[in-house]
Amino acid sequence: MLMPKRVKYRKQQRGRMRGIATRGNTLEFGEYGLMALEPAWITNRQIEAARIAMTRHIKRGGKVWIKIFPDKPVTAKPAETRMGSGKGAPEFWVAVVKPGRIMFELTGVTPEIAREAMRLASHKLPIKTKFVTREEGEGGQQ
Amino acid sequence: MERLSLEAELRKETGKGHARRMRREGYVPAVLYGKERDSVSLKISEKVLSGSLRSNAIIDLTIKSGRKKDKAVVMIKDLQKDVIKGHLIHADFHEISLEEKMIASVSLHLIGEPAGVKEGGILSQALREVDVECLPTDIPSWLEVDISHLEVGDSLNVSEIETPEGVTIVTEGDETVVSVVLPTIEEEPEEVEEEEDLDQEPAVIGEEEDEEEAAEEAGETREED
Repeated sequence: MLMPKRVKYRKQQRGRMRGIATRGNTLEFGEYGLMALEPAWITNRQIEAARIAMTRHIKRGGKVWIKIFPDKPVTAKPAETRMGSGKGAPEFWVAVVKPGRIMFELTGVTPEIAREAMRLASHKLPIKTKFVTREEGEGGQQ
Repeated sequence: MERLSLEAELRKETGKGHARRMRREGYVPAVLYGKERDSVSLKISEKVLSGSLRSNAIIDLTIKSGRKKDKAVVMIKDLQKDVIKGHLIHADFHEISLEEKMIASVSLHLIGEPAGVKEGGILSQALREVDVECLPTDIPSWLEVDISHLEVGDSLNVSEIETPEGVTIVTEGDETVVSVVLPTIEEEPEEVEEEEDLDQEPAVIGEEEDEEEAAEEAGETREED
């Protein structure tokens, strides 16, 4: 499961997810990508599930890039605990994703296989997504 | 090299409010600048602009300002697009001189199927465009790269790309354009390992050093004893 090796602080505040992705919003490595259309916290389990769904569908062909990393710890208090006595223990890790972010990239397969692999992956994620190809996902000069 | 003609209007209004109003009316805010010209703000019809987007096309731009008309030979320097919907937000026009050499990025077209791909490898393209220096009229629409000889583990560098006469590549010669890599093999995760992973917590940077220092100090005191 994805998580940082070393961190500066064990616990973080929640923060806000306003606006759109200003970085990581173009296809960099692959031919196809999966773009987030909503802001969300994507947990390391969801990323792993999506990756497995994708790699199982493409079988031995293709190459997958995961372009998000869960570097934000989420804490939770144990069940049936009274309020107070400090912040809970870190439970899992999330990646903060904003609309427009390309979360996964794929290459080396046909467009049909890529679309189906991304569709299967998108079912493991808590947000609406869009399948993008290089023509659509490219920014800058055309 | 393709040559197009476009018509734009001079605009005096600036700011996001005006820009948004303009976009609602079907226009795209644009700017024109060049060596011998102060930058001017323009607006151009989105339909016209999006219908005439070609890479490195030379554009004869007519700038209307009331009854006056001004002309400029330009190229599209930058296009801003909406990240999610993909529609045009802003365009930069750069005035060029047809007699002066300039740097432009040209896309690469891969020709042939690599031998490594037939054996089960995957073609990974790291570079899709290269910067070339030449006269604006000599800019090629694309550069062809023959990749049919690449085996698994082989790669092709920028220095191996052939260019037409009068065109020189500015991009570093040792940059990789394409490589043939082995495909991703799905690993079956072992459940035991995953359970271990869940219990693990990453090391905290400050505390990690404190612990090391404490351990070192403890070691020193023992030695002293």
